[in-house]
Amino acid sequence: MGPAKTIKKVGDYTVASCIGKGRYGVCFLAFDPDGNKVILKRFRPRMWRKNKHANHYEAVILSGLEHPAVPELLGVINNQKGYYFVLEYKDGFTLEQWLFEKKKVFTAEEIYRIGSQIFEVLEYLHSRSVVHGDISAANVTDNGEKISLLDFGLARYADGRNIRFSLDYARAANVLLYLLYSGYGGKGDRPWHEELPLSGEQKEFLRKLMEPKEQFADTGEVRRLFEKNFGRN
Amino acid sequence: MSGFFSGSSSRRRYPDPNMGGRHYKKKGLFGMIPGLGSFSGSGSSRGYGRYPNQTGYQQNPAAGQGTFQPNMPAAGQTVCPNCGASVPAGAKFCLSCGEKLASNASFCPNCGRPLPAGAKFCSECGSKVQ
Repeated sequence: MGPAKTIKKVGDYTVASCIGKGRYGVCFLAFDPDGNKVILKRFRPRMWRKNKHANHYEAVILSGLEHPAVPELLGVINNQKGYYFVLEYKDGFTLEQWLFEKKKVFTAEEIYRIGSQIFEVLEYLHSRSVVHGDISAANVTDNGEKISLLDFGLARYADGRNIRFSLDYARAANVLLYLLYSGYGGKGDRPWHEELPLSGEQKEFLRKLMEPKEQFADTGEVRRLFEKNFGRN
Repeated sequence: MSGFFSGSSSRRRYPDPNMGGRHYKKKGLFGMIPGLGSFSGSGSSRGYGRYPNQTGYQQNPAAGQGTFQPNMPAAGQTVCPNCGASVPAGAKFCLSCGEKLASNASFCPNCGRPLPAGAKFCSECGSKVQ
């Protein structure tokens, strides 16, 4: 028998694996003392210092949110091993993994489900004045039934000037375009509104979503228009 | 608000509305500004030194840790009863020692923004707080 593998502990948590790296740090899958999965988000000291006046936003914003698609902030660990946020684990693969590792082609029904759920969670966030700011295929997980929205590191409270709900609309539209392109086999040398087989209403809706200035009364209207334009008629 | 999310950087975070299949069939363009704050995407694994305790958070010298700054909390902040650090309104944990501070996690029922301890009205939307 070989030597026992070293088990890494961070506070009361047992680290199982590294599941993602970014400029700001590293995310680990870990287990709490009861065996429940959690995510430990470890911050790079240099980046934490660099953004010391903005680091609190993620913790404050997550503290004020309670939604099944948003990971709960479960704790903060600051010890000699590093500075960590403990976050609720959300199962499923990211849309980026589905698209580029599993080469999944999303059906119209799946795009409708995922889009509806993204706009539903955005409706909740925006009702709490929160702009996620970093909606992307890498920050949305899907388990085949439910999506979750990850990484609130760039989330801020809306100010109607630089921090606007329109940023989430535009980036959500971009995610939808990734999904819509999953079944596309053409050259790809023209803009999406010329290449994809979308109705005029669908194109107009996506175009409006990508505008820097909000083209909708509120996010509830966005969700309803998405469901009208992309749902089964 | 931090320049980290300034007007110009915010504008750059909007996707180009005229991209096509060449963009959407490729991995690795999700961030649009590579590495700007997102945990997504690749990153160097260098530089994980020991984390300096309480960087950026005001410390009470009595707590005996870290590099200290004045211990008077800034407006809207509260003091952690465990370590004496200032904690921003709304945070349900001390961002310095991790102490759970459930009573600090108070948010406006109308607009959702954090409320300073003892606030009777939301300073953002003016709603009366119970």
